[in-house]
Amino acid sequence: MKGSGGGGGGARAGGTAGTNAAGGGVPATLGADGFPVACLESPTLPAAAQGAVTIDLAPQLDGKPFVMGEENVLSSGGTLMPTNLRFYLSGFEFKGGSKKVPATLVDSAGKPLRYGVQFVDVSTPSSLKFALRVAPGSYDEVSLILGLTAGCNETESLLRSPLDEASQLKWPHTLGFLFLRFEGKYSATTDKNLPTKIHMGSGSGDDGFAPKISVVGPVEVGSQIAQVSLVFSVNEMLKGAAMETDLSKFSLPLSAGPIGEEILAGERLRQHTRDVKIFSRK
Amino acid sequence: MLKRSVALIAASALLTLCGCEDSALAPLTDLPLPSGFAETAGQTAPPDNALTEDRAQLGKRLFYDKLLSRDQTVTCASCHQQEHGFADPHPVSKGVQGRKGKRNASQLANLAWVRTGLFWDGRAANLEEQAIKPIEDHNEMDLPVTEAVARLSTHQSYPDAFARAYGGPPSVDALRRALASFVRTIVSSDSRYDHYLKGDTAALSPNEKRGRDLFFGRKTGCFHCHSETTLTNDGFFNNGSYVEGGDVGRQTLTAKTGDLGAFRVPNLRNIEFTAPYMHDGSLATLEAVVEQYSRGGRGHPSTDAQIEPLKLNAEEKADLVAFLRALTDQAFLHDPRFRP
Repeated sequence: MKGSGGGGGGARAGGTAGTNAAGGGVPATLGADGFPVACLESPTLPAAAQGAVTIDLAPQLDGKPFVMGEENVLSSGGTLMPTNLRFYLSGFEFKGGSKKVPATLVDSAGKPLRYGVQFVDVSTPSSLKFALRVAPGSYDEVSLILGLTAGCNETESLLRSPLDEASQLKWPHTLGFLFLRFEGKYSATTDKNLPTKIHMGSGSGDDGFAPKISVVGPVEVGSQIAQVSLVFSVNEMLKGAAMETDLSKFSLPLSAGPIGEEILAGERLRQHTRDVKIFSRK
Repeated sequence: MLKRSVALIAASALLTLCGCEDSALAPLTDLPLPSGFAETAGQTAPPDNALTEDRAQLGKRLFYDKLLSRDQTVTCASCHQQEHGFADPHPVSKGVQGRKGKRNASQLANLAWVRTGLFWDGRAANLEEQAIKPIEDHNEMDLPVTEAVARLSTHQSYPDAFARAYGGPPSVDALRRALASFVRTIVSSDSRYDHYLKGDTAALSPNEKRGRDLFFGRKTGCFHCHSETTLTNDGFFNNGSYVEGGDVGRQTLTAKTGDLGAFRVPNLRNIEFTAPYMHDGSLATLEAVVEQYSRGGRGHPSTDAQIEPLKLNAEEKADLVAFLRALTDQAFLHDPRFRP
């Protein structure tokens, strides 16, 4: 979801630095989020990215597998039946010491994913397992964007899957997308803070970018495929979406009517992603 | 003179058989790129069924041929009528021997872009898989597909048409591909709303614009399922139409509790003419549809969390209906290329 011209959309001028995702030594124009302004449909693999990494994502609630479309028991009492949980992942980087190396999302054949984006629909198990290519080395941290780079969120081009309406993340009226969408139903719970809907995008409050998340843990990338198992904590997602937040400056470029609770929950989560631990090593 | 008349009739029959009776018509495969779409319907075709005119014309001929039903009384077009946006004006469709189906026949416009499963419950992965299911369905055409192929194989002209389209005799694969090819050409993209999307702000009247703002605005949130350009998000949701003991929808396939009463989100192209509405055809008018959403569905606890009472006033309801009527594409409804 694109900002309305406030902080979210206003800081996109960026500068020219580094190289683009193509890795061909061509200077890339970077946005204020530090990522290329261009959203490349067919990114190319940097020559140095010879190491293979497989990431397994395990959504959990209270330490147990989170099952879509079924009643998941809450430790606080009652149940949660999720009907929708989907999000984008992009901007992967591996950090070793002071060195930060970009990683490229690839398909099973090693071809870079369209737009450099992994679309995760938790109802589709195959979307929870994906691959990266990165320069071989010893790393102690993986960082990722929960959502899209500003370049992909604000492109004016007609886009194809997964940056399309079928993702259920496309926002009307504007150019952008939701970064994460959750819907579910509770029963027999007394916790009034549990959000039934979370639609996280970038509004005009704060910086408007998709949150960048770091996950600490060693990763050895060499000649063998490195396996990284990550937990996606639903508890932490719900917690972040219910945290107290100053939303007085938050607005959206939509038509009349109050901003829905799902959007406010999303903005709370976006602003508090660093205060919760949605992703962790298994 | 008589000889000449017979020759003309014979020529006419031959042209009809080859599906190229009106050379003045544009090819079926002359497809527009709807506003907001990244690729044409033809570009969505799988590599093993690239869209060609021969394939689409063969598919159209099959679509309108009673040969594909057991007693040769029903065609695909019996339930998917062009003037009704390729939907069925009856709540549930009638198949051979008057047998009634379980669900309302869906409209067929712009299915080329669907990627998440066809039919109300999504049981067919793609158009090629979908194409022959109604032929075999007991309540629809009730003809084993092998029998269909046998009929086509002994037909006077079908073998040649299949050879032109697929390089061989009629087969199950070629049959499904041909039907899918025709359906892939059923593109609607010339409604007043489409013109509005292309920048013609005068294309919508003031109340239609108000309806559009409501539809894509926060108060109704219709856009959560009916996106701006495709008018569907390809998802499966319980929109509040489910009643206890009713059709469980997608749950038949997934067995998931959360899929009780969930059905495919239809695109709304030509919705003015695709009545009756919902999976069971239970709502006769657009006014009734808007009224149901305004109430927040029929009240079953399985209703999706996104469906809440909208408490629309009379003007808002009228504006929404006006906007929905602006999705009508008259050129599509009367496009002679889609006729038999």
